[in-house]
Amino acid sequence: MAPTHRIVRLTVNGDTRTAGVPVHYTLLETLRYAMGLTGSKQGCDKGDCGACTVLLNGEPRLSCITPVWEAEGLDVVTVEGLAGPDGALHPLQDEFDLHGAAQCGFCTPGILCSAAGLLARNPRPTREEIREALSGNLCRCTGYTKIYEAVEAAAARLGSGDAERERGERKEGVS
Amino acid sequence: MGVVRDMMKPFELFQPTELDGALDLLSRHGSDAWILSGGMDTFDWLKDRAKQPSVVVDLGGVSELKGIEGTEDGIRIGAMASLTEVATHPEITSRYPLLAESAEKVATPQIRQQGTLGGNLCQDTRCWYYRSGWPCYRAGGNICYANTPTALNREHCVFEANRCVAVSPSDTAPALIALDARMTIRSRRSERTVEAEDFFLGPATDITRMTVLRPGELLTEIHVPQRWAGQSYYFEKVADRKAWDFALANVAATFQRQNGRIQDARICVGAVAAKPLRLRNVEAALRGQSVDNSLLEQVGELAVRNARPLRQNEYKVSLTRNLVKRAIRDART
Amino acid sequence: MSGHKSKSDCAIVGSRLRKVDGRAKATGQARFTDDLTFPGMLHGKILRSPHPHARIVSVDTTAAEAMEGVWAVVTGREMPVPYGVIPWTPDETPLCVDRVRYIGDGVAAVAAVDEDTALEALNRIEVEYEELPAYLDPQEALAATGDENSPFIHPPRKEGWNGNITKKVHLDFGDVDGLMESSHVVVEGEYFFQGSTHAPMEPHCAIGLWESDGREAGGLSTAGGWTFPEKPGMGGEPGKHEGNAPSVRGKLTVWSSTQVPHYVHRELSRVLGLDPARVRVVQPPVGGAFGGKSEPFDLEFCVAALSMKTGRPVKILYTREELFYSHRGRHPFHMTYRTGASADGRLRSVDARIVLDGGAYASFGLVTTYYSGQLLTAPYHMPAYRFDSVRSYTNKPACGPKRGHGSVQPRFAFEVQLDKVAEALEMDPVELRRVNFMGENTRTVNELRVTSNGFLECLDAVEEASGWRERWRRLPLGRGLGVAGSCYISGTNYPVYPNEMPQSAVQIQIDRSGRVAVFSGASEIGQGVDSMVAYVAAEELGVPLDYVRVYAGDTDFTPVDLGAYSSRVTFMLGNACLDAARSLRRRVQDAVAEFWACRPRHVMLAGGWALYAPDTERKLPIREAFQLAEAAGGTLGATGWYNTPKDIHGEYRGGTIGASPAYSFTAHVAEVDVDVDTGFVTVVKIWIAHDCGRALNPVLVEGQMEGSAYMGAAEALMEEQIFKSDGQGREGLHNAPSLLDYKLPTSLDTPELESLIVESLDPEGPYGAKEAGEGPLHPSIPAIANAIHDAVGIRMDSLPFSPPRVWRAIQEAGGPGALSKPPAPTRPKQEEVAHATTRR
Repeated sequence: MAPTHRIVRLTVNGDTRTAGVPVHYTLLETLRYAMGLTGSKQGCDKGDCGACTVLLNGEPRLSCITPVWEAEGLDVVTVEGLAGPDGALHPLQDEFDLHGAAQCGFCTPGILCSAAGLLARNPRPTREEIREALSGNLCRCTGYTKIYEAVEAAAARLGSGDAERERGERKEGVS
Repeated sequence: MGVVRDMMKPFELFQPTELDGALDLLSRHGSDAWILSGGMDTFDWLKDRAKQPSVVVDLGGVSELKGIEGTEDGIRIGAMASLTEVATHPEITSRYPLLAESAEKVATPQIRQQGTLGGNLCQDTRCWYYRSGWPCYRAGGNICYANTPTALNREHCVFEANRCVAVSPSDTAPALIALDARMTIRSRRSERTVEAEDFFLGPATDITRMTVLRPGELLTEIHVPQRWAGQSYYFEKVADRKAWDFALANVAATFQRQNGRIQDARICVGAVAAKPLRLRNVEAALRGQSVDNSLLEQVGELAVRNARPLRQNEYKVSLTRNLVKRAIRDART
Repeated sequence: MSGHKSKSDCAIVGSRLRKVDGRAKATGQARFTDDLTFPGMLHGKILRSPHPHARIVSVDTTAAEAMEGVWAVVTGREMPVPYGVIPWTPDETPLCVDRVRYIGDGVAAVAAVDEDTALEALNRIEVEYEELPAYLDPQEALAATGDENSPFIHPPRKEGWNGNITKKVHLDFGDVDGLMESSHVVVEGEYFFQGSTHAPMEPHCAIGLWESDGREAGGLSTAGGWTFPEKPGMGGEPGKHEGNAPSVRGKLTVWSSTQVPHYVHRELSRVLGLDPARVRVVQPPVGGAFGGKSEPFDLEFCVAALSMKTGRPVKILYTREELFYSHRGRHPFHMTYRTGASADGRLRSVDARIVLDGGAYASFGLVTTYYSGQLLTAPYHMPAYRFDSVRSYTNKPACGPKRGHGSVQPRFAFEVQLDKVAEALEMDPVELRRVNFMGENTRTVNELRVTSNGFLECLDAVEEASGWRERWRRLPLGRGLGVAGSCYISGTNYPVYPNEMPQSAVQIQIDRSGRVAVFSGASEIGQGVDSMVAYVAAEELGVPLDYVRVYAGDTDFTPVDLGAYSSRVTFMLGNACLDAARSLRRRVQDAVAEFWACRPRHVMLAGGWALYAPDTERKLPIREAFQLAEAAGGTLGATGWYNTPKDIHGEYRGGTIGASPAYSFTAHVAEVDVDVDTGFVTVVKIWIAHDCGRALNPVLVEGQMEGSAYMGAAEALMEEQIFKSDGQGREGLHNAPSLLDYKLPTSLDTPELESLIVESLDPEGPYGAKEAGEGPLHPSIPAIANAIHDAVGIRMDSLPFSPPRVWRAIQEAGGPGALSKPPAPTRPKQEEVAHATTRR
């Protein structure tokens, strides 16, 4: 009889984590239910909505239809790992907050991961490239407009090379 | 039906690291074995519990199935190459933009990362009745639920129905047929090569399969010949949504032209029949011709001459006609 | 205009602000219901009917209960007390007792050690059904006789009634027939608006925890019948008032992704026979709702019952498929409209007949039936109006309120009618709308009180921004512009169950640290209500925004608010928060005035300081001001509440429904591109102008406007609840219950959206604010329909405008080659036609 469970060893947000999970567990199930990383969301569990998007070796992937064993040996980054090790938010996270790009916030973790993947390979995307990169992430609240604005603002900040200063200025303007 | 699902049943998992090992497993478990490549079609079936394989053979670790490289007479694409690789590989974007564009139109960015070319070609049909686990012809029963007087069949076929009216969902298949690709199929004992056009089956040939693959067999690689590299081409996918949707119809075409005339052409339409449909009559009518409106009208009609629309999909006939005309008129180089 | 503070007098309100929960949502720290786990938690699943209509002959749960890992099974018979969010139509039970009414109706539920086991246990429950004829078409349902071959879906509530009718409304205002007869032009049209569902990104989830009092094991009583004590004599509430609490002791807590914790609290208590003082409902952050979580659902009762049976926490999470069954979304409407107008474009008479396809249960259907007519009477002056609406039961998932409840469908038909009237009169449709503007501080034909009204500014804004005058009728074939307007309520004057208690309330507690804690009963569902109360509290108490904590959505420590529906929270909770914050502010001002020996009105609280108004150099840090107040009068807390005016409605049966303390107004212009070869419509852009009274935070108002327009465009182009009508016993099965097959627009399908905020400063709104969450959805759909007409000259009177439908309409018009742009009006000046009297 084949084993019903397996021990998986993942590198998640810089930590090496081990868990015993059913053989057929997806990466999402492992993150949420075995490792307590509930930031990644389950909106459909079929790869249809993108709320479960995480970064695998920097590329946005759907964790709800990725078997957990495929993530072994890869670098997994979830929404909980986007901020820097010093706790400074990723500019995308801060700009989402500033621009009202998260309404209910349920699609937000997945969208942030897709956007982070985009900015890593294309630091100054056009509006069209942002639309394309987010086309696998459904948002039901915003009509996407605020999300585009937030991604553009984050790209501008990342590109300016002086993100800290700019962040400070923006904060002042926002009370 | 009407029951909570979305959770896979447990299965026995095998993760071979070599092709021979994979083929051994497929041979040993026969039709009990489920082949997992990118998992995009697989997890849909397994989470719906409409299919409950006891054995899953994951090809993710088989490096022989990966990679894209130029060969003397074209290009070789491993069946496990991801759709993103196909859409962005410089050898493909420069020589076979038709294939790259068709891969770019599949699903969503995340799914193209995960999904493979082999999986896109071998995926099962999207007919809801069939995928909901109803006992239709394709599932071994004796009825087609999609072809009754009140059935919902807006997405179904307009050509070559034979009991079943499901359609081929692939976007890359028509492109590979237009490019005259060849598929390499291996089993533990044998290897064979079939033309892309012959890789796909209609219900008249076998109502339970979409491709010629038999239990124990695996699509291992795809060869695209030099002949159509760099020729003028056209690809268009029409779907309800611009992302994460299957085609209502798609068209892939490639043309060799000389002195303003079409020397040769290959045109294939998808999502309008159970297999991607090569339009040989249109190709023949184009040879030696220069494109003008009357030719377009003529071949547009030829393209849909044998169409037999169902209750809700008459629009697909005109869609097909218009896509074929556009392909000829607007082909790019 | 009113007594509201001006923009420059506000430190916080009106600025572009962060949300109080923005950071938590951007970091994954926000914990939604499914993110919560409890020690020993079991997992539940619900067995659902495979038949659209059947009698339950028997349910045998023995095999399931015998399974290892299964802790409890509950069936409908154990929870037989009927409920309904509208107290007059209690027609459902948590699980079906003796009849299933749609494919997906819940029959039994299981709690087990994990989901796998629970799922397997469902397979072992034996249910014997006796199938009944099913109705998918409302007309067929309405024709039922009630005999064996033509059964009613529900027992008639009165002898001789048709059990397939939820509600009939016929209302008549003014001389409809006479004014129609004397109209210069009469346009008649038939319209179909398809059903659509909310599809929030977060599936419903609930967790129940029963804590017995230690003396007994608890267990589930089937008695039920406990009701909230309500003021007697207010009528309508079924179930008699109990004098004493039922015997079941212990405490039930239910965490749920609901937008109406109070109604869930009420119905849990009533159905499970629990003293409401022993029930607590907690609402964690909700991942979108849109009306789809605005009444109790089967899972909330099931987790409670299963926990009462096991003593362990039990969680049920809907699969995406189950959301399509639980539904409560947009009703399909079949509508006929006659619209009469004078030669100058002024409306004279409007006559409507509407059939609502309600699905298997009443839900909010009584209100929907009224709303189908009552909410159409602004922003245009309408001398005469009649509507005749009937809501039918059918054997499909129940319809209910979806963003723009009940009024999105008639608004589509009516605004297309207006476009046709303008065409018949050769008028610019923007101008037609302008001449019909009803004005502000007025009453509608059905006697609704309208206060502030910025509709004309909305029209001006979209006309200007879209380049309407230069581009309408002048774009190339295939490209077009369309306009539409609408209005919507800012909450309802009358709650769903009659009572005279506040509709909305907050409690604020401040202390010597400077911290402001707001306990808000309202439901944060992504719309930003927690942020809204924080802005109001910070503005009034003069603290920095991050001094304010908002604790919300927990019936144990927040005052009652009726929920996040009917666009009520900004208006009502905003006023409640103003009430509480101002009473605390007065205490702080008094204490500081005492300290400074000045007049209290000279003490200003702003920006983290108490300031002496005549000389702002004199100031105290706000925390010291709070300390003075705490020393002077003791611990600082205040409640604040809002109740609607109850004397402003029509004096007729139903005249209270549709009455709102204020109405928002919207105008849209949509630009479309129609591919005449394929029938594909692309919405290129929507200009959205919305009168929200006052934008407390423009970022959130724009977000609501854009989200609304997106959702409207989605219904216009692609979304549709489709059910199989085939034989083989599968009729009524949802065609495609997934987010692949049910098409929500992706980023690539969503039009460009431009928000144009109009502020009319409502006299009764908090700082002048009105709603923004639902009104801006309405005009998208008719604006797109009217734009398709401008693009290719065809009228799309049936939704959605999906490629096959548009393609068919093009074929019926003679094919792509026969299409042409409609002619531009030949009469640009309305004055010239004002005197025309000839009848058509």
